[in-house]
Amino acid sequence: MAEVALRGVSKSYGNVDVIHDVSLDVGQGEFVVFVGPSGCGKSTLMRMIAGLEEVTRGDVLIGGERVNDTAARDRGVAMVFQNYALYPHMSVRDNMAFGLRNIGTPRPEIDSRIAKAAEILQLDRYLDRKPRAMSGGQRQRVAIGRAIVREPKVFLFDEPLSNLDANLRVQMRTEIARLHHRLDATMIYVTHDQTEAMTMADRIVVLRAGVIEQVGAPLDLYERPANMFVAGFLGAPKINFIKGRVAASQGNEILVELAGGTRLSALVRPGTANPGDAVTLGLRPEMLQIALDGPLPGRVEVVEQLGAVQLVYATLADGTTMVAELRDRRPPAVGADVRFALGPGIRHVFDARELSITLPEGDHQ
Amino acid sequence: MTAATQTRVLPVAEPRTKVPQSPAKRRDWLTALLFLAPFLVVYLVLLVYPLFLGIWISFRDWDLMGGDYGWIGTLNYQDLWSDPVFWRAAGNTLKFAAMTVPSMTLVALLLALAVQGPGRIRAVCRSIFFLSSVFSVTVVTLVWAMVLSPDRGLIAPVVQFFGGTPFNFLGSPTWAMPAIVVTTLWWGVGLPMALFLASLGSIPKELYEAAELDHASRWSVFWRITLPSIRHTVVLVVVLQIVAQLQIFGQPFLMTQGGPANSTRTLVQYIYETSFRDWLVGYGAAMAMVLFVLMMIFSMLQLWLGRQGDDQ
Amino acid sequence: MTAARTGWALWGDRLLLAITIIVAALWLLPVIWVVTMSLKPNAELMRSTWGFIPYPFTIENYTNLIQLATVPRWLVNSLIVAIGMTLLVLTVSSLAGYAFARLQFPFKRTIFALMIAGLMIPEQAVFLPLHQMFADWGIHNTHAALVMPRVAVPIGVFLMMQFFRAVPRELEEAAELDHASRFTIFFRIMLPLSVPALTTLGLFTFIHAWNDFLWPLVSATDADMYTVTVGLASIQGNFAMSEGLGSVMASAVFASLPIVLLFLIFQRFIVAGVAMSAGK
Ligand SMILES: Nc1ncnc2c1ncn2[C@@H]1O[C@H](COP(=O)(O)OP(=O)(O)O)[C@@H](O)[C@H]1O
Ligand SMILES: [Mg+2]
Repeated sequence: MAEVALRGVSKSYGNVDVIHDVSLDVGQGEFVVFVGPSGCGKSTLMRMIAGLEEVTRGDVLIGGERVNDTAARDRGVAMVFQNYALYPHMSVRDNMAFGLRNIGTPRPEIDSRIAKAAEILQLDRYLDRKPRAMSGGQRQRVAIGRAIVREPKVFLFDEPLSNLDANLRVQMRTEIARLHHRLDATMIYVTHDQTEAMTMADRIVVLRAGVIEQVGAPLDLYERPANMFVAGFLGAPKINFIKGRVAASQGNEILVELAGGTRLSALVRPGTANPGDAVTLGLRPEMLQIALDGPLPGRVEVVEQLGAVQLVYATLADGTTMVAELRDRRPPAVGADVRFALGPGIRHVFDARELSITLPEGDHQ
Repeated sequence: MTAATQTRVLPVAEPRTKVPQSPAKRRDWLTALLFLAPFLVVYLVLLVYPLFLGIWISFRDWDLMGGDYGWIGTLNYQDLWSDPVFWRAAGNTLKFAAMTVPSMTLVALLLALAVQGPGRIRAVCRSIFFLSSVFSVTVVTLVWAMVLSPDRGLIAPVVQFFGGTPFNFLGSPTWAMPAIVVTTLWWGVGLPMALFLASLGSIPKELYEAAELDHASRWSVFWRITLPSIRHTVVLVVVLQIVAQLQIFGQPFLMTQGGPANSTRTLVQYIYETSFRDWLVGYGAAMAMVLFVLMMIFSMLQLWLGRQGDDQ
Repeated sequence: MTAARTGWALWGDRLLLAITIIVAALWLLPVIWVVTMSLKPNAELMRSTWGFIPYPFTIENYTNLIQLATVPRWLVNSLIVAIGMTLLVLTVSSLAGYAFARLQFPFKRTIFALMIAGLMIPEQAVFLPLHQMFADWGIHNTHAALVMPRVAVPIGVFLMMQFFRAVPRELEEAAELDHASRFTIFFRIMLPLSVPALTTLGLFTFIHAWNDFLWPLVSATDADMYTVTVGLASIQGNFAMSEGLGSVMASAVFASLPIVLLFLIFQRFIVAGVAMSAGK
């Protein structure tokens, strides 16, 4: 049975619809990440689960029970806010104890829960400090600690790491992942950062403009994006989209002709592409290589040397910018004319409505 | 975890149904009522009701001990029209405001410019200029009546030193009003000065630095940068001052008792005297309404000017 | 204007500062003079009031004042009225300010507009009817009568509302998830956070109450119920310019001490308050 379930949930502010008919099941102990561009409705969706926002239409279920009319405090969820929302006038200890005191938890019980949370989060030494005397990372930990001590059925995180610097973000990412394993609790996590989504999630929910675009395990979405939006949102550097036209098709295989005359083959679901159809090819940067006899000519514009890999940005015949991720310590010079070859990997094909028509299984060579 | 991949489902357009009022929401109303109740009670009983009672009284022949001799229509207002003392008092009040408001605004701005900025000395000066506004009107008038006194004051010996004859400012129909204006300036400049200081402090430093790089003179910096940046505050100060100075009462009441020859009798003093000395509360209430309307007009002006400022 | 100045500009700055200091000294002079006179014997003041050094020196004016007991009595009245008014205004304003800032209730806009309209009702428009009402209720010459008309101040509600609106909403949402009721949120989270705003509002209310003149003048007619402000006015006329000058000055100083102390201690809150009210 799903711990959290959304059934046709919609949300409108006045006559502006921000969430459209969202349905989703989140299992017990699952770590689900809502990801999507800023303003797509991630926070709104999460706040409806928390009970901080009324549901305009549809039902929210927690532990199988409909909670639309249950006050936030009675839903058994805990939330970690982007700006931490720590009580500034209370010590770390009091911040964590506040919720427990409100429900009349006995003193020794409060103390032991705080001690346990402090140990997990390495906050033991800071229990008597005020939030203002702590660093961003420490505050974040306190905010998480405040959620842990409540022992909620569901943890909700709304962009908890976006106020931290890059290093700390990576560190906290692994800490939250570890916490999830340790507590074995249901967690829903909102972020606009696809890296966080890819690295932490059991399942990712990709949102755009209040609509679920796709739900699935990270690698699933990466390898089998349902549409161009999902393909473009996940993965860094971003997937390359190259416009073309179907030149010939035979069974599953089609031949796509790009501007400049280059022809590339790809596998599609039977009957989805006919000769003459406009399609878009999606090629991940890591499947591109430079080869003298490669089929795709381009001119190198920028080279980014990252040490382990090199990102080569090039312009194709039709002016499209393409990026290739190379593992060659000596990349081409800027301005050089090069040819790209396609290594092993999925050649994604999208139809004119931007939906994927790529053949889901079978071997793509 | 099964890798269930679900694709985009387009929303079905259907009429939105209104969510019924939840019990939680009704409880919220009740809470709000509890929070609001104390204020609403005092507000209604001690401000709104008296306002309407005052309007009602102004149409009646009503004396100080609550004696009500009935409805007399607009008779009180008609009497006002032909009461020379009322016109004198109204004139004095407007004259006082007309003298005080510009000078107060100017002095407050000059002082604010002089004491803004870093340093201990300026901080102390700020405190001194503000300090005089925490005294009560009784203390202020006591001090200034003494300062201006022709035989025991502070000004007389200085005048004598330069060979002049001490002058009784408060005893002169010409000079009593300006003397009260000076007293009022000393008393009241703190608040407008602080308003200007707050406003000056919020001008971005970069503006001045850019002007400096442009070799702007101090004078042009003031006219081109400082003044335009604080113009909203100037308007605010002027309107607040108008409304405040129309209510003047304590200073003339205590320093000159309205004299000499009615030259400093103000509206509020006349309302006070009519009601509490002559017992004509109905007549006093009618005058109070006139004053209220006068002040209302200027308050509206403030709201209107404030909105003008927001538009741009 | 923090950039380093040179030559004429530097001298200009110094001259300006010097003038400012002189003006400030002159500004303060009447106060120093009054304090000086309060520390001189009355007989000496009969001869001359000039001078800013209390010589010959005496504290007799103050000891007489305390023995006379009327002025201390007025001082106590003022304290009771000012403290009572401050506490009530803070209570009423913070409760209502919170409701306007964060609670949903029917007719919220209308009630709010009514309150804002109340900002425009001056004391003079209501003091006569209030006087009649209080006479009917028979409560003139009580502390309550001096306090009550000043509790209905929309400006306090407005300031507190502004403050509460600036508190991040997430803080309350976090508390809500922490099982806090509206009242717990208000008393345990919002009130402790609003101490600076409450201090500012409290200070202004206190100063206002202390210096209130017209209402105590008409309501407190019994000399025992005078506040210092009204009390001083009553002795000012009688023997101010006569032989008791030193005593009158001592009363003025005595009556101003609490408020001046308050000002010196809490200056920065007053400045903050002005900035806050100017912000909107
Ligand atoms: N109280 C509100 N009133 C009107 N529109 C709102 C309100 N809150 C959020 N929105 C709108 O809803 C959309 C989704 O917001 P949000 O859930 O915060 O996005 P995200 O968290 O994905 O960045 C945004 O377009 C935002 O402008
Ligand atoms: Mg968000």
